[in-house]
Amino acid sequence: MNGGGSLVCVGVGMTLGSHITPSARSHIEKADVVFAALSDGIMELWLARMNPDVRSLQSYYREGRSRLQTYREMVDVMLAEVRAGKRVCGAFYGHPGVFAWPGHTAIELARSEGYPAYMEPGISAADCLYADLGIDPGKYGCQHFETSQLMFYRRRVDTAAYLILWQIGVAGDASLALFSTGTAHRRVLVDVLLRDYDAAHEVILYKAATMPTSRPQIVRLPLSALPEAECDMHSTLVVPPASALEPDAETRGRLRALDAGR
Amino acid sequence: MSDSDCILFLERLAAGAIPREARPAELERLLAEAGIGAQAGAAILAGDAHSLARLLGAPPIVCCLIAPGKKDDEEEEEEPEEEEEEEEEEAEPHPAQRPSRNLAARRARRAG
Repeated sequence: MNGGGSLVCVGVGMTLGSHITPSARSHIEKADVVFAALSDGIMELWLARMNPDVRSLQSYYREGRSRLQTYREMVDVMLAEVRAGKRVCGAFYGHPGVFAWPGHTAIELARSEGYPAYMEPGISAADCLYADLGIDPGKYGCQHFETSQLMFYRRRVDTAAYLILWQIGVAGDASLALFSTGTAHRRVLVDVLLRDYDAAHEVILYKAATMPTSRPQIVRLPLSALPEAECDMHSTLVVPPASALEPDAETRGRLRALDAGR
Repeated sequence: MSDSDCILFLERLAAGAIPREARPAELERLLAEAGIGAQAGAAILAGDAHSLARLLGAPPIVCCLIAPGKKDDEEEEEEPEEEEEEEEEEAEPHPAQRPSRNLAARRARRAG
């Protein structure tokens, strides 16, 4: 039985003021307490104008300590206020559930304890890059991976589709304790990608705009130049398709047979 | 000038109350009218979030990563492979390793 506590995780989008939905704003304004996991200090100031009790989750990060520990503490601190009977809002930059562990976990835990909890979608970095780079993920398909996950596990990369790698700034950090990895780690990533792509294949490093007057950062470079390129925790890598779509003759044949039998 | 003025200006710009395509001279005039100082105005015009954050005394952002790249509680490579896999399953099973609800319901109906 819950004592009136609730949780909603909302996304504020990537660009200050431009992306927040009326619903997300309303949840932020009406919450008893708002926990903020944002990518920009100005965004935090902006959020503080919407609610008098905005608590930044930044203090839980510490370089040298596993981010999983940080994420668990974020969940714990949000759930503690839910259990105390408060209307809690978790405000995340971008989309609260896209490459974002604490939001999903907090909602799952709150629900398991009988509290109303749900997620309001937001505009993610992926949505921005589709717009800024003119990519329609439906055109050739689009695979998204967390960069390190692609390195730690054997995944099937479809070179006929777009490949989008998130958190490239910490590529290959098995400790989850670093805020950035460097050239050597990205060299390993490039070796992984060279299983499927040519060294000369053009890739794109992308960062969404955070202010309405900012422009997105778009850097095109050959895959081989990726290790030396400037990346940080805001960077996303886009690998455009490198091969043509291959017709599946067998399945097409089966479908033709179905059509003929109508 | 206060941070409220700057943020209100950015909000109005984002909402289209101030046309984004306005010429720099027009934006400069609007910034001055809003009481925004020259430095902050220049940072806004340049889209320079770092400088604006510094001028407004915005709280520092230590990190903005919110996704782990590997499974929860995954053991490091020193662990024997089989034990590692068991550990992974306990910590956070892949959806393919969870019995589907439909399958569980069908089994329950059959048993009933």
